[in-house]
Amino acid sequence: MSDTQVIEHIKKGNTDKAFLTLYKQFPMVRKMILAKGGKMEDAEDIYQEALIILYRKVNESDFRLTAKLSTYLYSICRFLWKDELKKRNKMPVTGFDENTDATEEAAIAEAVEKESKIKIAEKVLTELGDKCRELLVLFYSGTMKLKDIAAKMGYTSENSAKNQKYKCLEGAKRKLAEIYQQ
Amino acid sequence: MRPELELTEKIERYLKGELSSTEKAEFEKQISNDTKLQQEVKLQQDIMNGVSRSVLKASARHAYGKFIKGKNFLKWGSTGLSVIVASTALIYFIAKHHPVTNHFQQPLPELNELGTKQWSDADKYLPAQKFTLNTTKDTVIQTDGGIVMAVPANCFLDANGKPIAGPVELEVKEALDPASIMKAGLSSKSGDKLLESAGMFYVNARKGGQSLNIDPKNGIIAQVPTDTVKSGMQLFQGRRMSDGSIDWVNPKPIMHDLVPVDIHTLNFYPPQYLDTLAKWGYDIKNKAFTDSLYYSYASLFVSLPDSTSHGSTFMPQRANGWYKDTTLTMMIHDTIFEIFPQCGINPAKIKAIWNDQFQKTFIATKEFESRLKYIHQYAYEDLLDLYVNNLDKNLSDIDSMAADMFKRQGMEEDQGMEKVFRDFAKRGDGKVNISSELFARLKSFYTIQSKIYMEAETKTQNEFWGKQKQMDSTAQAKKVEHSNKDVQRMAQNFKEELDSNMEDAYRQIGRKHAFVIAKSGYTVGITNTGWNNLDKYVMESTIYRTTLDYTDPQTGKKAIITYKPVSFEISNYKHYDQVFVYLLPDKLASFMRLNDSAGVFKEKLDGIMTYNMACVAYKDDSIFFYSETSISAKEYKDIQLKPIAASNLTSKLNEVSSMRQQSDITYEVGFIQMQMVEQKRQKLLEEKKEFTFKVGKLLFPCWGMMMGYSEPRTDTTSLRSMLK
Repeated sequence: MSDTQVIEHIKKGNTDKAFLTLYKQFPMVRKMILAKGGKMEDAEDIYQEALIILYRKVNESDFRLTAKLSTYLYSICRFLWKDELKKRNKMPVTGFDENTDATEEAAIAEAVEKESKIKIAEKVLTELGDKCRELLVLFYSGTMKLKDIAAKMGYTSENSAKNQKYKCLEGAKRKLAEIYQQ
Repeated sequence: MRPELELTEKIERYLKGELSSTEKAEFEKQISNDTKLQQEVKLQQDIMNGVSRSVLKASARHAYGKFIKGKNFLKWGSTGLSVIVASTALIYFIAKHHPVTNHFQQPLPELNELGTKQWSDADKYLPAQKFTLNTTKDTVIQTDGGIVMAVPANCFLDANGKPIAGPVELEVKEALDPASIMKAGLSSKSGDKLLESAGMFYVNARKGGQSLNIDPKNGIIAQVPTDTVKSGMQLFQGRRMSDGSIDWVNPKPIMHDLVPVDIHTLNFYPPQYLDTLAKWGYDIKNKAFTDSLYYSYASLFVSLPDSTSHGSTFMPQRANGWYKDTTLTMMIHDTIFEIFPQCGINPAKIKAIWNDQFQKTFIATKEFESRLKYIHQYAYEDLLDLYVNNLDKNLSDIDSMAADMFKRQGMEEDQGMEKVFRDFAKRGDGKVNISSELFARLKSFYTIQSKIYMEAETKTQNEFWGKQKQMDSTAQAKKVEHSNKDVQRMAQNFKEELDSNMEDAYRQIGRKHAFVIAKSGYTVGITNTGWNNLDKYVMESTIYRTTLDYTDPQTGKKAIITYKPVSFEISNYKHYDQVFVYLLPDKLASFMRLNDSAGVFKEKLDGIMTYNMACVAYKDDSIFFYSETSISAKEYKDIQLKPIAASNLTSKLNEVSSMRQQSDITYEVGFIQMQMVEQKRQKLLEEKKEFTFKVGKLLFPCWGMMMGYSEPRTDTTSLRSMLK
């Protein structure tokens, strides 16, 4: 699959297909992370995070592909792992080959920062309870019809499922607003 | 709906771009005037991003699961169809195979198995195959057409229902392909219905011409060869009709017991293992070799003790407790190799079932072997556990359980596997009866043994690599020691040569050299300006090994030290692994090792010394030698080395070296020989590592992919360049 096709899939929401193709680069990243003191799990986590960030980037209105997706993905992973090492050791990390240009690095840093804010919202959802979270995920993943969601989640009607969804959304908003005010 | 919820809905529609352009314009106007609303929109946007993050994570995990398992499933031909022949001897009808054509009428006994004189066309035209059996023993026979019959001991009964003793004659007739069936005049009709014919056979046992009965509780098991096992096949009994045809009656579904074979004749390796090894030129008949190679990989399935489990709904967690982690590692030398459980079945588990303990269970059947191929292919240990932990059940029932398991997982690839196991289930393969006591014992044997095997393999591997590591560091220490000695030797040589030269030069100009050269040998402390010049010239001459031609300005006397080039060209140089040329100067305490430039060894000889020369070459395990005493400064060409026993090398070298030089040169050749052995060991280790990975990729295909493996680095630094 070409880069253009991968981007096409991401924009259409066929993330499974796009991600599966992008996982072909995983061994390379894995090698880098293992060489830089990480474990297999770290590589898995970092790669997953990088895929999400790539997804957000591609969906930005001003996204233009300037390098190969694989190169870009690798840069994101490298940035994330450096960042992670810094957090763990509280020490500057050396030994990464530093051929990223500063503009790209800054752009990645910004995207990572943005995503870490989204993590707060994600955490709010977990605090909301499994039922609310699953309901919202089902609604927004776009893979199931309203009718099926209602049946799966045990609601008597589509309307009550929808109503419950708005209640969950409302609850999440209030919790998030609280966190923002702190 | 409450007003807040309505607002939430409106914001959602706005964010999802579902508002009409007028609605949108109006709503945006509202937002721009209302900071509270702005906040609401922002909050909801954040929450939706949070939801999408959960969705994306799930999607990434899903893709990762697929990525790891992304493999193609091969199809294998099926093996066979077994039936139990439990009623009295008659004609049976099942599958198809091999032509058996003979159109001559066959001699027939007077009475058929029912004691009547009625014979069908098939009886008349099909040749009989006769086997004489000893009824006191279990017997297995194979017919020309490939039907395998297992005849249990004492299965034939006389008219009173008592087992028959002594030899019994078993007669078989078969028509397994359509041509034979038609030629034998056999129809495939049951009443007026046409059957999908696949093959027919007739069995009867006689003693002294009398037909015998088969013990219904202890029947003959017949396995009829077939290329494809079709579901819904039934076993019909044949009834001879007056017109010579046979009508097929009394159909029974084929749910048959399985026939265990010798478990060691089965192939439980991953499907491509033996074929590929054979292609690579290994002896695959050597089971000790193929076993130990395969089982050695069990050590790669040992989990790291301290990593945390990263469970996800998409990758099933192994439940039976002997590993909890998705990452398994082992140290091979300095390289970390890991095998993911998603990449293959732990060989220790195979070892635990592929042994005499599991003889006479369904593990020891062709039927199980054909399932195991898929279990390997899918690399799903739970599936293997499922079969082994249900030894008392019908194979077809376990097939259904396996199919259900895949259905529950519901991934794309799983659907293919679900179908594979549904198809297996349709074959109706039964079970091998085992006692509940044996069953319980085997179950725990499997669990305990697979763990023991894995630990044993790990221990063996760790011991091996631990020892190699130790040898590595010993060799390294020796190398360091040798290079230190080399430096000392050269410094000592230089000092002695300089002393000799200096003494000689002063002798030539008729003075005594009064200055002591500092012990270090490199820096010379000169305090007296008067003789400075000569000292300096001698020093330079010795360092650069160039001829000194000095005229003393005061006395006009000359001091000459000559350095003349000598070179040795070794005949057939490329034939040897390593070649070393040594010079042994009479005035020095040690030897000089000459630099090698493509087979020509050059040096400059100091005119005041006499040199002996020795050349030692190595090829595989052989040593070659040449020596010459009192060489002159010229080009020696075409030097022919002669083989020499390793035990003679030292004495040969001693012949050309002085007493003072002997210990150094003995140390030198000892070191070189040690290095030759060391290099051979390193080469073997590299080959072993390479082989381990090559076979590993074959056994666990996705392992190779995950390793992102680059070809192993071979150490190209030769001993020769190291010594420079």
